[in-house]
Amino acid sequence: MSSVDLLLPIWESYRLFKDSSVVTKRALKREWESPEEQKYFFDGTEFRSDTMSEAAESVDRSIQSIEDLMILSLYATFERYIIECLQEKGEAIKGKSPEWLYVKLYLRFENSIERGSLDEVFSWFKNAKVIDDELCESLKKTKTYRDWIAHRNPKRKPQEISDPATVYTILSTAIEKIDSAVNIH
Amino acid sequence: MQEWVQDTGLITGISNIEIEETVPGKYPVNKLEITDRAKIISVQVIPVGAYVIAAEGRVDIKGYLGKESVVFLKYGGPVIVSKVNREVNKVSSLYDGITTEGWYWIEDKRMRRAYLLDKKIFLELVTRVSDYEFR
Repeated sequence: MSSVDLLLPIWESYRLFKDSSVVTKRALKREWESPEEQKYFFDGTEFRSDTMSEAAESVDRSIQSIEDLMILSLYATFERYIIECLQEKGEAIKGKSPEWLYVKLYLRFENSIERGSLDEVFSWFKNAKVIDDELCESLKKTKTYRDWIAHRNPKRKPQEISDPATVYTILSTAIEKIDSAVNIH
Repeated sequence: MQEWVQDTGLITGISNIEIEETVPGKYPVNKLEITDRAKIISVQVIPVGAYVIAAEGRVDIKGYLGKESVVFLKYGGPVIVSKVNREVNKVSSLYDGITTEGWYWIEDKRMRRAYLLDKKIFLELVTRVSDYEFR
């Protein structure tokens, strides 16, 4: 599996949810042949005792929540990819002699990558011309927007907003660039 | 956009709304509403803001079925320069299909494919968010 494919299941789930919401909205608007038919269609679902407009409104609210969750999920997967990619590269120092020293050094490195700032890592890639200024900035802004969604800290309101499609495009482009640059054999 | 729907039989109206962004704060913008005579469909074209990541602005086209977004991109779009395997710099853009500065629709089935907004695309987006069929 290519590393870019890591984001694909999340993206496809989001698209499927969006399509499902369109189907639901069409069903809510449909003129049913009988009340029984309509009851059968919505029975056992969250829409059971809603009016048609209440049901449509709850679908709209869900879309907003899902969009936020998608951004969090896409970013978490991207973050894990970067961490694992760097830790894998760092394994080169394992097995060196004296072992007791390099094992400790690797543990410190692993911990620092796990807890360190991704902004700094983006700058490494920018300085190595793996990604350009524009993509580096987009990655940093996407992280700020992701933090806003996760914490809603009014003191850290992002200047620029985003959406799942843009986040997916930016992160998948970055993975593509990073993957081809770090996997040089 | 208003001109694009003029000969379709739909009715348009413009109203003033206020939007809020972190940097400029609150400011007034025009919202376009598209309806049919029977008021069965209602599509709203709403500016979202100028401060959006990887574009110079975003407008949402909202209808009963959902929303589609169009973004303002500069020529070439957000340019990404990469140096792969220490070879010569390759220049590519985040999106394919940017031929001029303007408003684009990014099709999410084929990511990175941008379509310059014109009458045909706009009416297709209206259909997507409302199921309204243009004849």
